[in-house]
Amino acid sequence: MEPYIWTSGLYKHEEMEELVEDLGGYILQKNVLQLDVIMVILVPNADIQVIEAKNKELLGKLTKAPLAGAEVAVITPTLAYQHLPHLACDVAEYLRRAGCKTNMIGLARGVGRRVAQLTAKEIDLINEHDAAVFLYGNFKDCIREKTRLFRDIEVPIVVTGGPEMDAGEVPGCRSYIGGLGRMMHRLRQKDETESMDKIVDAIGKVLDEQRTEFDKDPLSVSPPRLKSEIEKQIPDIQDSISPTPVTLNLNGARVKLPYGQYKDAILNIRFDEGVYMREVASASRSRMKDYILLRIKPKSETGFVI
Amino acid sequence: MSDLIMEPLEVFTVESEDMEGAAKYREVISDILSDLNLVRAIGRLKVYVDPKAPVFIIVGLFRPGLAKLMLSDVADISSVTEGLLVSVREELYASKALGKLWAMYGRENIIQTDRAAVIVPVKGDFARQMDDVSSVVVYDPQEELKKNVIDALLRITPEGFRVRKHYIDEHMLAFIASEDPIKPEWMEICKRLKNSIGA
Repeated sequence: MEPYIWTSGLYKHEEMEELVEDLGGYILQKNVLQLDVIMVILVPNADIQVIEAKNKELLGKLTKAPLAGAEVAVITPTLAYQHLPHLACDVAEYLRRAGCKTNMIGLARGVGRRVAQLTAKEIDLINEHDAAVFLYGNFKDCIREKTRLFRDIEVPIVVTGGPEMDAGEVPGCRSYIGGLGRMMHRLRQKDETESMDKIVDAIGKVLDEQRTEFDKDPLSVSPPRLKSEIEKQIPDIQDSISPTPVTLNLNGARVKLPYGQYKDAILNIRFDEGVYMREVASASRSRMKDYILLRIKPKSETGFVI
Repeated sequence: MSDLIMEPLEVFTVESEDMEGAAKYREVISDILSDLNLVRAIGRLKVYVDPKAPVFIIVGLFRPGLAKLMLSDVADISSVTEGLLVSVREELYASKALGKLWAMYGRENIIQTDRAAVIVPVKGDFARQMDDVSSVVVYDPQEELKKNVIDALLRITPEGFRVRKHYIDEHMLAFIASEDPIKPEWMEICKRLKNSIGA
């Protein structure tokens, strides 16, 4: 399946929605902004031309979304004006345009050099994502010093900073992107947008590696399938005011409903194949609010793939 | 020294072992100064950053600014039977001027005839009182500048550097920030920078 972002007018947009579903694709996210619609869709590779033809008919815009279906944490040392808004918001928005869901995390005690630290809750929260982007500052020495924050983080890390360095010089990260660092202006210059492109590429690469890793022991059910079943069988999800009530991860999903109240209903969802959700996925309480975190079990554990 | 004629930011350097970081930091500082409209107010600025220590030092010289605004500049003051009639012409300073007069003479002693006009009772020497009232400062650009400069300093300094030492007067500013207690050698660096900009 190939992920795309489709931008179009509200008029007749449901024709595209129906076509994607008829072809066996998935709508990952749909945002209606007054008279515009932005949808992140997954299209079966064989039917891309059909979708392109429909897009032409509806005068929309179809762009590739390399990061669709993943949730990325954009992490700044704090939420104070030293680090926000320009750099963090621009990076987060740029990643969003590549199709992923981004969450911005401002650390409680991330400031300084010697005194910087992560709290246990922050570590757990970051580990719920598929990748983490750390936005660091302008000095080489400080960037290297602050890599000790990565110690307990299990998800792949991409670091950005001011100086140009090799990823090898920044222990614990998969990729390092220079040319950004602490900034007090919007990222509009050519070299700045190029650096942001590099972040997208780096995260794309990291996510591909993760996917390859999961493919070695395939997931029992695909995350988009999980999402569509939840939307079909749990009507209350419609009432969730979050922009993405079911947020996809590479190996599961975050369902934005209270854990205590809906955990059992979600685990009792029945797939067409006769399999129950509890057989293919495990649920736990998310560190983000009181949401439900679903993690799909691999084939080696369940013995089947649906 | 302060009456030197200086161009806006005629000296502006960021000193550090990490040249790349210093160049980036220069960019951050000029963005902040232009955000807060301080570029024209500062003549010389020198910054020293040592990320290994870690310490952040900044010293600067202000350019001679605008003069203070007195009550006589913004109001008509005339003599009436009850005392001195102060009628503020410039709407912008009306509330500030009335506030100052209330503070000087007590609210119950002042007769307000209009929204922006009051009568101040005459006590003692008329001529001296006329001078006193005329010379009430209603707007001091230096005060405003000071506020903005302090704001800028806090924005410029790395956020984690919570141990700070500062000096600010109408001619110059000096600021040291670090994570650790301020060391005497940093004070020496600060003094060296201060002398090099002619403060």
